[in-house]
Amino acid sequence: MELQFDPYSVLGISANATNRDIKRAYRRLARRLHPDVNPGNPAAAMQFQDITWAYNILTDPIGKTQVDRQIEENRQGTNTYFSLRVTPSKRTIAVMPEEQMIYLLAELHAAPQQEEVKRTLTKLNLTLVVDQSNSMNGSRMNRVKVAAQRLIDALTPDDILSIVGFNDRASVVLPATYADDKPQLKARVSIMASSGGTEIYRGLEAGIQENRKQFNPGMVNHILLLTDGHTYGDQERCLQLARDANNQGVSISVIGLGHDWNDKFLDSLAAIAGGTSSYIDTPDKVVGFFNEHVRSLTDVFSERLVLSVAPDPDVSIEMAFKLSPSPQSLELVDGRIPLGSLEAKRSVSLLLQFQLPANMPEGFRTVARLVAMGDIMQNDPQAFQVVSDISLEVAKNPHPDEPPQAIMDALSKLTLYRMQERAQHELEAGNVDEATRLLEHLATRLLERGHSALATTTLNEASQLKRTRALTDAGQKTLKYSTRALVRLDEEIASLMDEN
Amino acid sequence: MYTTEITASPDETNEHITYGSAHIGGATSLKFSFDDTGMTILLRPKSSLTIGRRDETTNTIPDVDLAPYGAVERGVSRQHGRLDVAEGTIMLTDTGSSNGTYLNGQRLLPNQPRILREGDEVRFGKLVTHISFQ
Repeated sequence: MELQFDPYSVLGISANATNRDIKRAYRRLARRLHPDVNPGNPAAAMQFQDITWAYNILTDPIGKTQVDRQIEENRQGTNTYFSLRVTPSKRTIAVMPEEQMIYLLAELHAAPQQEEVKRTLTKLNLTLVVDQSNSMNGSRMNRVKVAAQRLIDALTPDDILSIVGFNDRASVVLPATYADDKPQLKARVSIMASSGGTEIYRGLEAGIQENRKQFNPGMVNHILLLTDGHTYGDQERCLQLARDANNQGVSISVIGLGHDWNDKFLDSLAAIAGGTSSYIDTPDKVVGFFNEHVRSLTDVFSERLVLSVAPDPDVSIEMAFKLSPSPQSLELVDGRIPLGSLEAKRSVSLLLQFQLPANMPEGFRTVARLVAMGDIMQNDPQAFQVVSDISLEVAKNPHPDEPPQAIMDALSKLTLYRMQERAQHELEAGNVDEATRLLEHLATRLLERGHSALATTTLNEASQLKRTRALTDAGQKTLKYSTRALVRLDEEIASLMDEN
Repeated sequence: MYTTEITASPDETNEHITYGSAHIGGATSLKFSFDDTGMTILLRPKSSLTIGRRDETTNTIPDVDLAPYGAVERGVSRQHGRLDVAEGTIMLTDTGSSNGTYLNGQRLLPNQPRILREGDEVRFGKLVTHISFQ
């Protein structure tokens, strides 16, 4: 029998639990996760299936014997793990006549690696999808070619590369192939030329197709999309492609080059597909970016990572934001947050915001059940999951309890990003004065925190806005991606938390 | 307020194990403060201490007995958890309790040790304690 997950840990019970313990644990969880009490909560529905599977197998004497044998075998094996630590902003919640917010900081860490075992680099099945429209002509295309050629140098013969170029249509520059004949690969790159418009759907579709040809669960199957322009009318179809690709284990990162591309759309695409989105203002930064991107991919410990978030029936999730390694807004896709990769040495941390109901009775109550699932590259079988069940005390007069430093810090930085977002929002709604006021306020806050260059840019944009009733494209993107970058979880604060 | 001092697991009394200072900063004791009663327990854990509630009928005698702190009403199991000293840190493990052990609101999976930190909130069933190093 191939046991994917430990059914005991799915139910949160120990391996010597009695039949009564198993039933009790199942009933307790089923009350929270049953589809009848959770309409429109796909994470709860999925987690309910999991606990039911665990319950069925453990209450079947033959199943239980097989499970126990398999767990014993696994224990003697060499499989490693990742951990999920969740810290709430408050450990005791006050009874309140209105709804209230609570934040959870979730951190995923790869198990410490043994020093003597030298980790082998993770193998890549990488697809570059490159915008070849007219606007890429010149230094942009030249730098992308150099970047692609450097990338080819950095690959090992066991890695697979494919390259798709697109404008109004897609062309396969390099079909998915092992990177063993590097001169040949580079020659293909050198003949890329630019003309025509930008239709991302074409490129993405062809790119996904190339990547799938060589899809391998033992590799990181990743698409890197680079564009410098707007795509029209095909955005919804692109997002659907991205969703499907991610469901099948392919992650997608995007680069917006220059300032004339749709940031909302590309941020969303990357979030749906478990990848990162990045703004590169000038072509000379492309080479460095590719380099760093590939390095982080070869350091992947766990891939195809998702966090299933099942709030209790009376709780709702309001927001999810990744703090590190690369800060960005996250998307819930059917109750699951695609997270892409967990690197061996860099943890993934995210901030989740939940709304709790008004007038909660005093006592202890559960809030949400989080399940992190991913494939651990060096394990056999690869699939691994860890459960975190959050339960807090509700009291009339709780002890004053300062939120953990890491959460306070993340929230105060997130405020800056959100202020920028609100300004954009007001501007789109035609409230120029309010948008200007918000930007001026943002500039003051940035200055207070010592980000003087960014504060100056913000002030310039505010006065630009007053004069022309619009932001510059470059300024808008700089504000967005620079305030986003500030949200990164301060490693010093994070490690302070570890030391304490 | 009164403090109970528990020195060590009975069979380890003569063995002297010093902490690494990494996590508990030269402190020698671990203090459990109980919110409800204001009572505290001061522990000097050496190697391993079992936590639970004393029960004469089943002859369960844990190293750290939580019965005087309202363990029965608050759903502490006879064998609830364990503290281990390892490499200068103190690890808390739930040993298959009925009502669970929670570290800062996160339920511990049975038999998976977690490092304790100064200021942590640990809940045995519904018995809330705060941890400090002294």
